[in-house]
Amino acid sequence: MKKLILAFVVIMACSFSMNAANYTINDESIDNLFAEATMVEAPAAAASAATAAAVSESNNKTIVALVLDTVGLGYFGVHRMILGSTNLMWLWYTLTGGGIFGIVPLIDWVMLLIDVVNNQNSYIGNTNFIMWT
Amino acid sequence: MFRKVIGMRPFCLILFLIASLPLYAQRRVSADVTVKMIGNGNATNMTKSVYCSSDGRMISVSNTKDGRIFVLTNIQGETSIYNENRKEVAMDNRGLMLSTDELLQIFLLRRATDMGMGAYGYQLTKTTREEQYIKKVFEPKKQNSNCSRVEIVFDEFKPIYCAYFDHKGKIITKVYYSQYALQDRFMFPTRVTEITYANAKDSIVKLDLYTNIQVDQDDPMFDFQVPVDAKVIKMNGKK
Repeated sequence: MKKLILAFVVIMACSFSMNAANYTINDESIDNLFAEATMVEAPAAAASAATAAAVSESNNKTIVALVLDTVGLGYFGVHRMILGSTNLMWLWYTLTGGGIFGIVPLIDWVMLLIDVVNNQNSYIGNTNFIMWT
Repeated sequence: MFRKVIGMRPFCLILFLIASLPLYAQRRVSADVTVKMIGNGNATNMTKSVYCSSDGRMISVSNTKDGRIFVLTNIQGETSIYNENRKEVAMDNRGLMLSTDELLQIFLLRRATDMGMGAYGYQLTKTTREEQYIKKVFEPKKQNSNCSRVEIVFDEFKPIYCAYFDHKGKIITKVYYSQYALQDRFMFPTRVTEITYANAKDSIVKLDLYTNIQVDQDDPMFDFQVPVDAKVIKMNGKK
């Protein structure tokens, strides 16, 4: 699973220009990317969405965490609080500019997505700042 | 006396211009946002409506199967999350979510010149011109920062590209701001594409699409307040 996770999202970086001098992107290629991807319905837990942050005992914390990460609260580590991390985890995410400028919550999101698809709860209680290492 | 009055003319002109500025400043902006993310071949969609005020207040409304979810926050990070159907509200004052983290708010508060990098502890170190573009380089004030530098590229004063570099000089994340729309003197990129390179081969794409941008409209949502009879729930879940 770890290897699968590490192999996630091969978005065909070659489809984007890596030339630093190119400051624009081909919107059509991005649109095609989403068109070809398998759409995953927002989990039913989306019903509670951000308010899920207030849920103390959820039967599916991973789904709730995924939703929170999707709506943007992942930048502040709220999804980690739901998963049962350390009390100050939100502080680490905030101090690092939203988890190293949003990179950590982005990867968290993919990890949680895979976790949900496989019906696992691998990251509950994980106290590492980077939970997938 | 006459000479004194004449001598004050430039001063009066400047004073008049400064006093006139608020007349041209937008005070309220709202938009519908579709957030798309893709990873491992799977993609998700989330939609929300965002209402930003020049006093730093921001309200985000998501329509879900369980009813509307309101997220209210401000510059200080005082956040309330309200579930309309359940009539429950969770509140937090630790700065988990700042209104200035929303791109709409950055543009409304006219912080697009550095895209909020100053608030993250970065300072402008270099400005260069590349053809029609202006590139600004920001570097962290503290050595232990996660990014060695951030480059923001402007085209006619509009940010169009932002790149975050690691300490090896490789790009970690690229953000493209495109399809600028002008609505009542409010210029805003309606399409924001963010690409994060997890490693040499893999990447994650996030796409924010802004539609229905309204400027200075009298939408009651701007003044939304959490009902006083809402049940208060702490963020740790204890009632």
